[in-house]
Amino acid sequence: MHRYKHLLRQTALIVFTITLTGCASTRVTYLPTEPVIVGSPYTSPYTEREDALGILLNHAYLAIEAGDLDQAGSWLSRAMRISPTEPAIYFHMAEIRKEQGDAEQARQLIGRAMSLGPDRKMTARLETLLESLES
Amino acid sequence: MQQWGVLLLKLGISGFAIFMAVVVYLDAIVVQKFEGKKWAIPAKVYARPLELYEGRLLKPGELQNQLTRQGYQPVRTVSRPGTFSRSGNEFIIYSRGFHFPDGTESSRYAHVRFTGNEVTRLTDRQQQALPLLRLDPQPVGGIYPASYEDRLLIRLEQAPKYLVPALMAVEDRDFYTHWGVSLSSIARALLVNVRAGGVVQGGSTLTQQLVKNFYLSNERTLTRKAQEAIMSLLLELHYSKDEILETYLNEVYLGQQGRRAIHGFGLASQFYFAQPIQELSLARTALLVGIVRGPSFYDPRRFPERALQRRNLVLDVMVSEGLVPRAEAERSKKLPLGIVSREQMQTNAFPAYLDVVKDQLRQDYAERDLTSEGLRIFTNMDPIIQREAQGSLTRIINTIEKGKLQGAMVVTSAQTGDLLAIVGDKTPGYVGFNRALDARRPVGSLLKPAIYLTALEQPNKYTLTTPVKDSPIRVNDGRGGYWEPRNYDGKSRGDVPLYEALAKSYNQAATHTGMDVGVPNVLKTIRRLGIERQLPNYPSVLLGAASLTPMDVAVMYQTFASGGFRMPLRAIDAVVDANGRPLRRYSLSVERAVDPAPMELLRQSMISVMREGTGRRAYWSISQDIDLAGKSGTTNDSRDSWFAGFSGNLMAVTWLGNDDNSPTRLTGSSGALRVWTDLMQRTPISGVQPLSSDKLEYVWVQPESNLRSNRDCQGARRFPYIAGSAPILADNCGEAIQQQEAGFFDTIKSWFD
Repeated sequence: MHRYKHLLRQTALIVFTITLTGCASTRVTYLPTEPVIVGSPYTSPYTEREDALGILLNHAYLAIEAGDLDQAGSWLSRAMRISPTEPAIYFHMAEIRKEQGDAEQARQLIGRAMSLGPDRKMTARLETLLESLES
Repeated sequence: MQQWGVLLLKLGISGFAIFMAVVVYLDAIVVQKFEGKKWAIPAKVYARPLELYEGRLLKPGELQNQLTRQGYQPVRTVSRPGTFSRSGNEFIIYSRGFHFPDGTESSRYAHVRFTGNEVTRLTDRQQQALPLLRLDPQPVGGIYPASYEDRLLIRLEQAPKYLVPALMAVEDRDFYTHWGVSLSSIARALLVNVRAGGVVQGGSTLTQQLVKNFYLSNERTLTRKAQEAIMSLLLELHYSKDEILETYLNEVYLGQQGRRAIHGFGLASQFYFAQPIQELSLARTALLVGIVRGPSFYDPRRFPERALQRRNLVLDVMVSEGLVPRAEAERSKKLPLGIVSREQMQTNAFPAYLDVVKDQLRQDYAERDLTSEGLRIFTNMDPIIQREAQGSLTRIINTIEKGKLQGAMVVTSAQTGDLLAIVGDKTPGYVGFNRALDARRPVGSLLKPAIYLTALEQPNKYTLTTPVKDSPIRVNDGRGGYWEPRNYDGKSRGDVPLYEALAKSYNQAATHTGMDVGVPNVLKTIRRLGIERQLPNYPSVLLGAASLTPMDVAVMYQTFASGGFRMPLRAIDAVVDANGRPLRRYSLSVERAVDPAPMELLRQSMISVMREGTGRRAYWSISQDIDLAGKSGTTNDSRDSWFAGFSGNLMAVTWLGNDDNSPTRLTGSSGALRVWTDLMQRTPISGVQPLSSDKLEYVWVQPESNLRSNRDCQGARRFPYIAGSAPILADNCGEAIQQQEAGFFDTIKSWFD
């Protein structure tokens, strides 16, 4: 009886270990991927916008935060067709290029944004981004 | 006797063995082709999708035209995708869903309200604000293999309700029960044919028809008939009825356009109705089913009467088979065929643009992949601007001269370099010599901005108001002779302010300036602006003796339009594979070529070209409120008439001339500018905005004397200067002007302020 119990405990332990390591056990079920909480730790500056450009910039912002740079690029391309002189579009494109390791193109896009008469707030963001490229 | 029996047995066995070998061989063919990639699918090319949002500038009529071109059906009550209604300035659009490279756009029901030429309200079914409505893009062509076989694959589930039942009723009643060959239908066909004394009805099942088209050549021999029967049986043995049917729907030949062969119901639906197959009505489904029997005999474009009879016959058969109520069939029989026009057939209606697309694609893809892998190419072509550009060129050329005069046009998005339209011939849809890409012609004064830009980049020597010499000049032409340029009207004006020399396009002033800054430096500037062609290092290059294509010129003027950033002109936005996976996106890349400060000076003088110089004719039809910038070009004996310029949102280059290079009697202003202006006034445009640069200061001066001035003085104008380069000496209105007169001029000036 005692032997049996011992065996049972050993078996349970082995099963538990296998379950933990998850190696090739078909009974292991994975939790679905955690939903990505986008926007943290910053909130999108465009959440309040309801116009077409604002909506697209918001999507692009969230996609960049989530690391989906291709998707972000697509949103920005659409935004650019609607408002090709909006400095914020080029700013975010520069962010994407920076993430992709293309500092030179990022610098060029910042220059493009600067030439489009950004407001003071945007100018400050552009300058910060430019400095981060230099360091 | 016994010997004979053995021989017969042997013969029988070997005959059977041979027969089996043939069967095995055919089986291999049947399986191999059916399992593999069944067809080479040509790449499909799409225009940029129409996007609606509040604030979008668009003429309501253009929206309606575009919807119609994309096969949207005008209806009274909008209840399914692909339909719309319009009452005055209000549209209801039920858009189609579409798989874009950046994701799926769902089908949407939307209210669109216009005020004038602007979308002022966009709401969904519940009247909630809808920020964006993206329509499915218009297909504008394909890249075909040598066979020119084209098809658009559909799955069986995508077939409209009546398609399969109608097809079976007309072509193969026993499809779901026979084994590939139907003895009863052969017997029936035989009976009918014997009675009629000729071939009236085919006894082929759908399976046999598929085998015939898919595997075999088009000869009619007994062996081939046997082969067809065996293969049909084999096909049925291996595959389900639905698999066979789906393949049939995609394989069947349904029409021809030139060399292009239309295969499958998916493409046929686009080809005849510009509609996705899912949207087809009963009548249209019946027409397609009717065409199966003889696509050229029942060609609804060439023989509409015959096609109509055939369609109605199919409807009658459907009634007798109990597939549709008689009343519904009768209603459908009264409908017109609903065949769409040439452009909507979605074959290459815009060949000049397709040329650029193909050029750009061939840099990244093999020809084979383009013609067989079912790629989808999303382009930046704006279908509305493309049509307007072609319309402007065709119309103006025909007004000027109904002869051999030809032309070309390139239109881009001024800020991003998206290639919006290419026109390569005055005849819409012309396939052949593409002048926008391939006509290399002397550009005349189009290069002058590069001369003055080179000068303005030296602010200590040149400003917009620096006097430049417009006097006779004799230059060593670098080839052992002399070159003595003259002005267009033969007069020399002495000293003129630099901006005016460009605005009025004085040749002698440009030559003096160009020689002063140096021809090699001007050539460097031209290269910096994006011209990669090697231009000859002769002084006459300054006045445009060099030859460029309209596309080359567009690259250069794009750099001006975007404020000094060089960028590739992009025809392609994205490429996705047959499964909708994005292969490549062509996103914007820019490179600063010119500092914004001198760029802004040049742009100001290009605005002067339009306000007071050779481009002023544009304002005959465009509002004075909009700043435009550009430059005209005319070559010796008026052989070439050029205009290149931009608004805030569009850049366009136009060339007019004769292919044989004979004189046209046109200047840039009297020819190409008219086409340019015609396009600009038909499309919503914004004004050119000044570039911002902290190096710039704005100063009131007297341009004629190049002296600082009080803003209230007569003739005073405000010009941008690179900091430190503005005139120092002041002219205080001169002595002659009295106090009250100044007041009088103030009043006049205030009218213009």
